[in-house]
Amino acid sequence: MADQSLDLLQGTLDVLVLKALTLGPMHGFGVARWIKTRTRDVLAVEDAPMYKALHRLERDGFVEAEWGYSDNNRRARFYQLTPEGRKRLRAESVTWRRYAEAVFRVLGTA
Amino acid sequence: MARFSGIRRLFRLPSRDAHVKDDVDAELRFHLDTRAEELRASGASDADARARALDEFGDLDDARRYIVGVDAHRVRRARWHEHLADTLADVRYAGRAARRAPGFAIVAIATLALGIGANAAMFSIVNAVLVHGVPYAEPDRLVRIYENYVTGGDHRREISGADYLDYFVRQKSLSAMTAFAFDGFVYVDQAGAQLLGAIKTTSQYFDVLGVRAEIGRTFRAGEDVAGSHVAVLSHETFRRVFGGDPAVIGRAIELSDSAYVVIGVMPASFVPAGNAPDLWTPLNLATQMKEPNRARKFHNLGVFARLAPGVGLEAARANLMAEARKLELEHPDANTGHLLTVLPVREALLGDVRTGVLVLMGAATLVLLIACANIAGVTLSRALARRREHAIRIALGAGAGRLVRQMMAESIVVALVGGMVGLAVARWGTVALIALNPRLVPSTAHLVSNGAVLGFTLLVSIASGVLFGLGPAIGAARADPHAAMQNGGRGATMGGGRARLRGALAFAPVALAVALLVGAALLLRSVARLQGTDVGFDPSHLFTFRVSPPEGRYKTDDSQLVMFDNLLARLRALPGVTAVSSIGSLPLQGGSGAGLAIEGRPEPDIVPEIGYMSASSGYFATMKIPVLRGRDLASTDRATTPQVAVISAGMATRFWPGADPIGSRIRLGPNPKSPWIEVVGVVGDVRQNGADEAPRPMAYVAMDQDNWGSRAIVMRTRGDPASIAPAAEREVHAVDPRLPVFRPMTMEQVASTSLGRRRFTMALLGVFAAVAVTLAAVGVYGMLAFTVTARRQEFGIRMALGANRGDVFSLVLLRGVATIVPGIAAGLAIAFASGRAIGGLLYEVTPYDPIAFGGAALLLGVVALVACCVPARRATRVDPLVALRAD
Repeated sequence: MADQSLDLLQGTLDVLVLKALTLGPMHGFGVARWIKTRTRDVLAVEDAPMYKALHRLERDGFVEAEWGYSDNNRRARFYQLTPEGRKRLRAESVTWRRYAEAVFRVLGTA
Repeated sequence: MARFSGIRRLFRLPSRDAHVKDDVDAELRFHLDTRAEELRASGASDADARARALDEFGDLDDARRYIVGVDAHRVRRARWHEHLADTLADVRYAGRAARRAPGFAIVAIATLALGIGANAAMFSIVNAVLVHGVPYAEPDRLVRIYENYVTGGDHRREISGADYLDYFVRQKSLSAMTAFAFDGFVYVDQAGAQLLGAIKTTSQYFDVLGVRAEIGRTFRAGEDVAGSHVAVLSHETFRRVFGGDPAVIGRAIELSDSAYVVIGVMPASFVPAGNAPDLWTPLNLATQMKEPNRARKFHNLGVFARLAPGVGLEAARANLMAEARKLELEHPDANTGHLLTVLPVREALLGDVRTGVLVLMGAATLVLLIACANIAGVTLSRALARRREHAIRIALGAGAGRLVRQMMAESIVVALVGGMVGLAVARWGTVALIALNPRLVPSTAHLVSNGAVLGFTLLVSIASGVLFGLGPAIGAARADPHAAMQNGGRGATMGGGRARLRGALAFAPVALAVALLVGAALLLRSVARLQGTDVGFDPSHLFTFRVSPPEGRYKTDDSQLVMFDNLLARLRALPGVTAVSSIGSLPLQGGSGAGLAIEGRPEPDIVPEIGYMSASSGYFATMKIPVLRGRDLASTDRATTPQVAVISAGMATRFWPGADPIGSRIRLGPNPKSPWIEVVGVVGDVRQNGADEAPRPMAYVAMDQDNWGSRAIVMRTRGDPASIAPAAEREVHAVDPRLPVFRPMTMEQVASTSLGRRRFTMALLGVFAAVAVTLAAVGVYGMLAFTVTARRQEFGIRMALGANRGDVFSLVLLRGVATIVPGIAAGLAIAFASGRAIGGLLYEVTPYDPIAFGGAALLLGVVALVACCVPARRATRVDPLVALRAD
């Protein structure tokens, strides 16, 4: 799965997707809407990379999926976090916070 | 994945990649539709909404492709995991099933252990004999060349030195040739004196065979002609005699009182079939060439050769035969009738052994087939008894494939455990076989390529599991759940197809066991014939050993004769010994031949060949060979008195038909200058070349007048001949402490060694046949026992309606007979068809011997009928009331 152009974004997206799913089982559209609501003004997130991230996370065992029915009563694929996914989210959050703090420190002194 | 795992199992994983694509499309469509709907709700037109949803999504095709790839990977992995989990579950289930019915598991495992063990043991022997028995490079290009002396009735005679050298120079079809001759050396160390078997070879020997020394080197070019005193040791000798110390290389050791330098050790795997020697020394053909009469008429050289590149066997044969015809013309006195036999080395070394080994391998295979048929029969019966269990599983949604897989797992687990136990059986069996007959089975049989044996056993085990498990498994999977549930899965009668299968599974063992039994009976009759043949002497109460005075210390004939006279006198004085004598080589162990000329008769074109042997005084009395006319050899026949010979009755009738040969004079051997020998006695015929070879005309000359050097001593004892051994050895060492006592044994042991290979094959085939008969009887019993259980209700009804016990008994018995009789007939047919395969192993018994066929049929019939009686009796004890009330 070599799409290096996504490398930076991929890590970021993964964290966002995992975070979205902490709210409970959600279909892809729900995850996308949650991310868009939260980042609309800052990040322009397309749906395609988000779906790629969802399936990658599923393959690697961080989320699992199940067919169910959406609010408008249509068949939709619902995702939820696995214990591994929660663990990953915690680890990534710590890393992100330290990364951000480091960058802020640098920018703050400039 | 805890939460969804149950669901995943219920709604099976997508089974094909197409399903993965469908799922991905559905998911993406849901996203786009939902987004478009949202946009429409906020006022966008339909087309607009769709376009914007697509636009927001990004590269749809790329995402789709990517996701399908990721999902396919995930699904494949999950499927594999599920498969593994299923297999583990199957194995666990098999283990539980085995624990629930330990009797079945134990019987099945024991039966398989016997069958697989027999096969693994035979395979190690086949492997050791037929594959590793020819430890030469490119054996397909290697040939063994013999003289084909048709007029002497001898197709495999060794070649004379002068002929060998002529072929060596003249032939155009071989790239290399080497000659060898057997010899022996006395070696003395702290442990005492021993005789080491040697092969003397020309320098090229090891190069022609394509083998290298493990330590040190083999012979260099010219070491043969130079008469170098160097020796190459076999690995076994290196280990046994020299303690495996590499320091022996370069050291001088004393062989028959001459110093030889050890230059190399051969690898442990170099144990050629036939006669593996203790050591090799160079062969100096020049010494043999010095005496013109010996040069071309003394046939003692074995010859190996390699076909030249691009030359086939037939072309080489033609070329060598042309040379043989030339030599025939050039040396009519020595070479008339001497052509060549050229055999591929494998055939030359293994020809005799191969039939026996392959027949035994075939027998072992039959035993395993019988074992598999038996277990399949029992498995089928159990499958019927477990119909309820299977029906419930099918009703609960287990697929038929899953059920077959599960039953196969059960079979294969049982087979693998059986194979494991079988390996132990094989290991023990091989060691026992080596102990029984070291001549047929190389002592390395248990050493060579354990990997191959292991692989073979594994394969055979799995194959057996499939063989006995598949039929019943498929039968079970076809079970109709409704029918099985309705009558409670019990008391059901078998369907026609399965009843036929069950019958066949009892029939096949009977047929195969009869075929094996016929083979064993044929060999038994051969060995009985052989043991019953009159060998011409009385082998009881005879002790024998060989003494070979080394020429280094016993340089003259006189010194050797004095030593032997001294020894024989001492042995005669031993208490419990009634007579002692000696001979060049023992009866049954082969002899040598010589051309015959009779005084006063014209020499025929083709000189007749007779057996020729040198013996000392009182030989015929000691052996209890009857003296028919004239006298025995006597102590008065000395080097200084006129030469005498005693001839066999067969020789007397062939060359003096209707006349008295006593007083006639003959000449033996090729030398026209040798003196005439007077015939002084006629004695009974003796089987000199083996119990299975008719006696040939023989002439015995006096040892004092024709000293052979090495002799076999024969001692007739009053009591147990073996008990004289220590005293005899003491006397030998009193005469010369450095003389080895070689091959001490009783004459009965010699006789049984002569029967060895046949008896060995017979014993093993007998064991296989016994196992086969037992299994066949168990198979018939099992089938009937099951029938009786399954038809209990029917018998109950019959008896309630007035049938008596006798009727029910014969009803069951008839069912047994209906399997046994066709089984026996088929077995006899198989035996008849495979008669040719075993023909070579028989002696004076045709492969279609009616007694063997009849005996085998009778024995199996009786055993199988007895096996039938047990379930038949049980059928008569069915209580009608109980049987009808059941379920």
